[in-house]
Amino acid sequence: MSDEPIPNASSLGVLVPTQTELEEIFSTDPDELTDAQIDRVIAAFEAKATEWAKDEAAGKKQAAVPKLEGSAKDVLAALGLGKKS
Amino acid sequence: MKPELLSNSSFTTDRYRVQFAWDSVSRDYILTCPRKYQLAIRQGWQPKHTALPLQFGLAFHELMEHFHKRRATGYSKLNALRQGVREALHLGNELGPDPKGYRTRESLLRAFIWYHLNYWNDPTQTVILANGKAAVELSFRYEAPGITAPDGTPYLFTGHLDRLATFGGKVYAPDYKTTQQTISADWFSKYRMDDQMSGYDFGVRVTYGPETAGVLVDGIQLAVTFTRFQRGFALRTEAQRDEWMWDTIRWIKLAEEFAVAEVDLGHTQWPMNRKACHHYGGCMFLEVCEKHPSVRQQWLEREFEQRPWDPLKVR
Repeated sequence: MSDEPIPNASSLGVLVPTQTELEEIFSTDPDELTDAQIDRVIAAFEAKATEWAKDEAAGKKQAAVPKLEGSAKDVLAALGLGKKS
Repeated sequence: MKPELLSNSSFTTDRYRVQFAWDSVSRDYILTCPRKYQLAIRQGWQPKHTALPLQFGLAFHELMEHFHKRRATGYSKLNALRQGVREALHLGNELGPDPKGYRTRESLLRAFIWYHLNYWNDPTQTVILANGKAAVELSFRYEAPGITAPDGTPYLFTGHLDRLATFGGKVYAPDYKTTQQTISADWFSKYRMDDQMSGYDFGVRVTYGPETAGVLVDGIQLAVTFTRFQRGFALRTEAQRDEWMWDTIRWIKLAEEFAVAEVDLGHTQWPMNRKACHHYGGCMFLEVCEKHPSVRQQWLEREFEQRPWDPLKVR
């Protein structure tokens, strides 16, 4: 176990790079990269991980909604939709 | 087919040139197809270019090995991660092209960084050996019970373990497995009878003591836009261990039988297992075996190169 904080832009004190900035870092010789530049790479991937985790949680939540059964008319009615005659 | 046998310290030096040191790679070939074993191990033919999944898996293993070694020598988690990112950029630049986008520089970086974010407070802890070194990338070898090669050389089992780690008070041998498949109970179930895992399980107990609990499978699902992680176990009962050893000895003796027949009887073409030709996307030697025997050597030389696989070589 470790008491080191999980690295992200805030704990590393860097800005999440734009895709262009990230490509610039990638095109540099890795041995020439400073710790600050490496931290921006970590921050970029951490941001993507957080975003993906949110999307996945949302996807699971959506998938957890019980399916409505019955005719199309019943389903629309249950959702408060459908033509009102 | 002209059997060209290269120098290999895992083979006996008598006229039969029998492989006496066996690892999971060698076993995989003989279990799959004797002809495949003959070409890949006995004759040492390997594709000129390493397949991308293998290249990617090796790169990930290397990153993890170095990370754990650095941690054991006092690096903070963040500094070990930073150094790993530098290495991942180097290794990622060396990967072959992947038009589908599963195994790229970005997915290697993502797998490495996300793995550590996911397991930042990892309950598994690398074992520190009596010599003070981290139990990372360990080699083992032990004698197979009761069998020798025709020249009297004892047969050996050899292997490499990613690391030894404690988890829940027990010692496990974790092994990283990257896959494009969704990791589920079904995906882990394939390791219940897996030969490589049985070999690790046996090897780790023989080498590091019977208190070791088995193999922890660190599953890493590679997708185009994400990487997912899950852990499972490949555990064996004593009865399964005994059966694995008995089966494996018989397979090794079968390979010996083919090697002896090649020399004594001139049976230079080991039998093909035609049921395995199309497994896992197709055998790498499929195009060779499909050809007339008289032109197979030319095909081998065109598509492959001889790089002996030596299980006694310490990595």
